[in-house]
Amino acid sequence: MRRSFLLLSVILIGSCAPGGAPAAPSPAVSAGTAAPEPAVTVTFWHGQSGVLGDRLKVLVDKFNASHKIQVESTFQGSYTNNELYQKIISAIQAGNPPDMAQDTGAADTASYFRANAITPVQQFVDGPDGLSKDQLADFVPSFLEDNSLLVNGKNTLVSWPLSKSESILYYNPDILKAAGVSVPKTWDDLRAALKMVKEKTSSTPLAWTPTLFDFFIPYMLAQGGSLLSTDLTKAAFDSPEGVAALQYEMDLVLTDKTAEITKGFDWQNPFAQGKVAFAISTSVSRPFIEQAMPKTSVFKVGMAPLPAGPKGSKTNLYGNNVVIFAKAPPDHQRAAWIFLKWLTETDQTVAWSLASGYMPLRTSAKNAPEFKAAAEQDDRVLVPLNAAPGAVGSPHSADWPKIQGPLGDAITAALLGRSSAKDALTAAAKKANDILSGY
Amino acid sequence: MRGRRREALEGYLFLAPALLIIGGFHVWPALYAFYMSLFRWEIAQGAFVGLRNYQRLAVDGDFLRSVGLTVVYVVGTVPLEMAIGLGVALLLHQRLRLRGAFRLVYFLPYVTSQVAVALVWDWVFNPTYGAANGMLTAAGAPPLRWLLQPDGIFSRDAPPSLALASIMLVTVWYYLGFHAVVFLSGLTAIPDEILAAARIDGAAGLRLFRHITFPLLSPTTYFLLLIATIGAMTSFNLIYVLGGGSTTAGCAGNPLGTTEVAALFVFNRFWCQTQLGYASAAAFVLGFVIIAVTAANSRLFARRVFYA
Repeated sequence: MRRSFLLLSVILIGSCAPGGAPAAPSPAVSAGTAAPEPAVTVTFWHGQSGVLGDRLKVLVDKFNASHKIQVESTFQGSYTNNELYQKIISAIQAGNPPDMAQDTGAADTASYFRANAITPVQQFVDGPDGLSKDQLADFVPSFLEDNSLLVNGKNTLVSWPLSKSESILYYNPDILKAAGVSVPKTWDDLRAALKMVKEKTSSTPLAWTPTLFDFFIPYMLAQGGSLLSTDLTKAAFDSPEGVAALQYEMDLVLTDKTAEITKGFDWQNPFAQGKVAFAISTSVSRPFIEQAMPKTSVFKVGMAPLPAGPKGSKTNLYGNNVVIFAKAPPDHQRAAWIFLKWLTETDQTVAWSLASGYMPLRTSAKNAPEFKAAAEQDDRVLVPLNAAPGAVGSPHSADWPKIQGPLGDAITAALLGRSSAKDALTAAAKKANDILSGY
Repeated sequence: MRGRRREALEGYLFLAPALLIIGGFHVWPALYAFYMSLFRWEIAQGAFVGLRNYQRLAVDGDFLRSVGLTVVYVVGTVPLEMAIGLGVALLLHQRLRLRGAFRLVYFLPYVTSQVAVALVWDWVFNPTYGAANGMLTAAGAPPLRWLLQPDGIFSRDAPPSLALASIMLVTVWYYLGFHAVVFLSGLTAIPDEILAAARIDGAAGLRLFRHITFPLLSPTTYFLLLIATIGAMTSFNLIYVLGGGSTTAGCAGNPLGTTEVAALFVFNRFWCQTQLGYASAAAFVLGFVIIAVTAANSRLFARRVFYA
């Protein structure tokens, strides 16, 4: 496994080496004639540290080597821990934001947009440096949807996708075999499989840190529910579908006792040690699980789409997008867009995907030679991409981050047996509606 | 006349660096925070709302709970760390072998980064592989959920939760070395003649401590009481990391808000919910509560301080 990872790294680094094949020319633009590239240096704040930061830098260097535009990328703190967000809102307060920055998803984008801090990407997509309809259609629709907001009644791209991942069902095939169960296709199958693992083996059926994203939201969406009303003004998670989702979690924890609750990423080590049958986490967790495996008990980590409900298999869309700031001068904004467009071309999105574990953003990636080779070697790289049509990002409401706390508390209270699913969600919905009504 | 003016100017020049630092980094931000508290201020400045943010705080159950938790945290940590610190100081004041080494051991936590300390204790209290549960299971007791347990240690819904009590335990452990060292310096400052005279008069042991040592230590005790109370009311780092700040998108106060003391309430509203105006109002109220508590402390205890 580590060898394949090494191979992927070599592919990326090889494709970026100065002596390698020249970069593919940018595709033709959709409308008008593009002006010459501005010779400007643009700043790009991101939240990719460590190895991922190094690999992103390789791509940035490749762009800088072949363009007049120079991108100065800097790590500004983890985006999963809110550090990058804190830096960005401080910079906005100080009136000195970068030209572009990663953000954590639609809710962040919505709050920047509400504050008039960013400029919608749509104008560049439609402009002389933009993309044709076919080129745009090559992007996974749910990824573009995650970057769109209703502006004057029209769905508008306000940010641009970069690193996308989603919730995936991880399993240990050896334990499943010992328990005589197959990979669950529906949520009911999963519950039955967990019971079988408990009955037939000494393994922990499911180790899991309760969050909204890996269980509650996908289950509720698969039943046809939603987090907020369509116009984003009311909580909708207290619907029968939401109650069913929370009740399902309660059944696993309190009734069946097939789920062991952990803290943060503490489920990873027992899973890597072969003590746990199932786990649900983001699709980029696999390398971390494999790194934590003891040399004596290596098993092939199973990956499958999340189980389906009546509305099919739904999953939570994680990852980050990039925004272009309104304060940036027009030539910097244009340069930022040219960089983003290049970064998400098929070659680059494949390279970034293979280097990082995030999903490629374009459907054409499946036919790219490097991606095909990687998929032939290990078909698990296709699992998230195949599940992507059912991926749903966070609600496009600037108030969503404020609602996550009360909703998370409702789930904790229910899983501790302190409240029924309905009561917990009703109380959370009341708080959410207060927030959405603007105090 | 000119000479006096020149002298005054020189005086102001000497004061200038400190005034600039205090003014620029303390007074100006505080004034600006008050200004922000009068607005609906999220990422950008919104509508002027006057004192509405303050009115909202008065009826915000989460804020009132956070103030209550702060009181519990202060009452549960300050007396304990002072009492244990005093006990340790009295021991270290004896002519012990390896006295220097003991002083170092007790003081070591205080000079260690709070975040590093919190991460180590986070591991100790981990319900899956932590040392605390390891010891409990070895002793035949059932494992506990420590920092994940919102149930109160006295009754289910009364604070402190086991999570907050665990954090309070770490707080006492962290600060007792500081208290011990300051008490030790207070003990060293007590004139030997007074102690010798008391001994000649027949005082010894507990009586000597109660009637001579403790009263003469009162300036130190008073100083420690003031700064420990202010410190505990604004305590953040340990509670933030142990309350889930490193794992839940940078927001802490887990589980179920039972560790969300007032300083954390301000942080969460500011950084996690981007309610900058509302958080500024809460910070101001917290500031006034601290001033009021400090004033009450002075009124209650200042006259009992005996300066030899």
